[in-house]
Amino acid sequence: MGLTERINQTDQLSYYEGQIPVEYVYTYGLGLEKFFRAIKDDGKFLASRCLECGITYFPVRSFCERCLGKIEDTVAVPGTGKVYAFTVVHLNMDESPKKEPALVALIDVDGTDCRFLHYLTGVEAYEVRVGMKVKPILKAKKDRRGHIEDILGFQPA
Amino acid sequence: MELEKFELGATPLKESAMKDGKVLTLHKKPNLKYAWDNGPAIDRYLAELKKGRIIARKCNKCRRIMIPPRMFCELCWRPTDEWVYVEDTGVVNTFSICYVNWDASRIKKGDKPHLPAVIEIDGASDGMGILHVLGEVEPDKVKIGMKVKAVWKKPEEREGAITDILYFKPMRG
Amino acid sequence: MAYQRVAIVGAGITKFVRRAHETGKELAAQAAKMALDSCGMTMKDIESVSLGTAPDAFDGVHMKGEYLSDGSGGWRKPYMRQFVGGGTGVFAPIHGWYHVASGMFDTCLVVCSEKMSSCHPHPQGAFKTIFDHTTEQALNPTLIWIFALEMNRYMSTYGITKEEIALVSVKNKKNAMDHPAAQLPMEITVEDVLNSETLAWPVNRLDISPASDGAAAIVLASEHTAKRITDKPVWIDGVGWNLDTAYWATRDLYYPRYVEKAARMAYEMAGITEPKREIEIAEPYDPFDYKELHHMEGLLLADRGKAVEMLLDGKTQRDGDRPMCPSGGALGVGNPIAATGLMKVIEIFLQLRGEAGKRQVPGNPRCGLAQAWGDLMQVGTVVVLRR
Repeated sequence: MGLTERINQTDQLSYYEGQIPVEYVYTYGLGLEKFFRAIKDDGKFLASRCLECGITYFPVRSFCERCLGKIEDTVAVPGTGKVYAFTVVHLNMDESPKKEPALVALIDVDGTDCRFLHYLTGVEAYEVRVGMKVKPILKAKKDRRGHIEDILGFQPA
Repeated sequence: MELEKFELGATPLKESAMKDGKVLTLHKKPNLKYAWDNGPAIDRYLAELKKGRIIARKCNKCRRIMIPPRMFCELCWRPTDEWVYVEDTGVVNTFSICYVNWDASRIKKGDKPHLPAVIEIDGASDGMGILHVLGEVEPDKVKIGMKVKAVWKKPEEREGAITDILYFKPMRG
Repeated sequence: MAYQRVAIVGAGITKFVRRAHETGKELAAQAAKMALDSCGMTMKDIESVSLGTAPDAFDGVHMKGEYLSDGSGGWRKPYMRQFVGGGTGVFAPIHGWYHVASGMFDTCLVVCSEKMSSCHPHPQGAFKTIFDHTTEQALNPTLIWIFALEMNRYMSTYGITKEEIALVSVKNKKNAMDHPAAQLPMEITVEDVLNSETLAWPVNRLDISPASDGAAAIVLASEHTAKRITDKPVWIDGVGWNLDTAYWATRDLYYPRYVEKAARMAYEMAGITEPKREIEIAEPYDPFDYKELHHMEGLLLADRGKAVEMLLDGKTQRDGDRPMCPSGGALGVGNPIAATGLMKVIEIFLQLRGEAGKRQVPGNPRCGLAQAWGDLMQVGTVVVLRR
């Protein structure tokens, strides 16, 4: 059973243009509120630990994904870590070439059981190695607003 | 268990707490733009609207004349068979008198309310309604069962859209 | 048909609020943990997870099923998301029922979470996109249009007045005074409803449930497992769901035929032949006040056009012969879409166990029903519960 009419000339295809008119205001929630406040106000990194399961989450979470237990306490961590994997990005979102390639890495965060996605800075692509020790670089306090971009990136430690 | 014996979650926030920065928030406006393919049925429907006519599709099995037109009959689950022109008149199946805009903002004071209606189109099968709006009528004069006729944009202003019909207005008599 | 009998053994819920500080996954975790705690279970006892949540566009999170998975206990479990718009809150437990009834699993955690406040300034921008993009969105519809159009058709067909329908809102918002999760509990009069802002005649502000953030969860277990967990299991004895044509404007707006088909499916499974007599208590979906009446008729709990008589006679009050929405419903407790349907299931669960506190209906009911409704006014989802 086929459809009774087909359009074989692709230049005859018609379409109707439109938008989905939505805007969002996201709250950070109980966990990330603590995490980003500590970066913004104190330049410190916080993790949270489920005593039941022995897992340390980074960034802070308000519940354990394994037992769903509530986690209220936080623990300070240095924010340093090791490169778990990295990639060199040459294209922008619209697929135009970047002036400078960007280095994106997954970082095993010291003292936690989690990995964190961010940029690498102050290092050339050919110098990056899996397992390389890195540390976070923050914006100046006056420029921090409680945002993932308060961290400029991670550079070799 | 009784709910009363538990401490229930969810921490209510006032909008002011977000505006004052008492809690951290992120504001995002996704840039979502689409070009939706019309497909053969709606392609023809829009092309005919541009010419000032309404076209439907007929299923020769259940004999329904369907509007908006579709290339398959969702009841018989088979391709539809024929194009059929229907009238640009119809009957109000139901209506509303609406004081809010699509984004939940309120219409301006003194502006006429929106008059959305389901209109059963003459020449299509019984109960075949489309969503449109009413015009040239006072809100308190609208009645279910009222006969209405399409008021079209000028031919040179039509663009092949449902809005080529500006609104439906009551027919005299 | 051979399947395992399935019971609800635990339940959890967050408060329903206009705007929560918590993220959607944090709300889900709070409700899910409470459900586990309520029956002394842990995630180690949970073999499968069913998540219900409404359009991604509300939260502004794409792939919301994946996003909510950690808060819903989906970590390294067979996990499945259900979604049929407003009908999701009863659809998710139906799928949980499947997981267990099929014999695949002995336990299933069902979680429904919604965070509508992320959509700014109002979820209507997201609601607009449920209309057909080419033939309807250009008319700038709001979701209220379809309710207003349906309510008008319903009122006109049966000669029912706005004053009569307003009584549903008065009843449900008052019932919600006794619900600890309620967002809009209030004592109001019919005049208050009629005098509230006209949004889209015949719909006034107090005819409508609010947009909400919130989550709910239940634990399901097979018969032999349930009996180890609790001496008060509540059995899911019937499930049903049904969908009408996608062309909403061509449907009989005065009667939800698809709800009737869903109800008949659930009744047949539960062996119910006289729903008016056998269903002692119900939570029909009430996002707008007329919908409670509309759905009572679709559920065959009232004759067509006659639900309003039961309302006027006081039969649907909490102390009446056939209590409807004793929780306070979406109108009173709030309407975080998917979580609302599950809140209704939880209310019947508690009522049948005699654990509804101040909301408890008299007469020790043995059999009840919860229903939700959604997509573009076309889906009905029903569960029949017995103790």
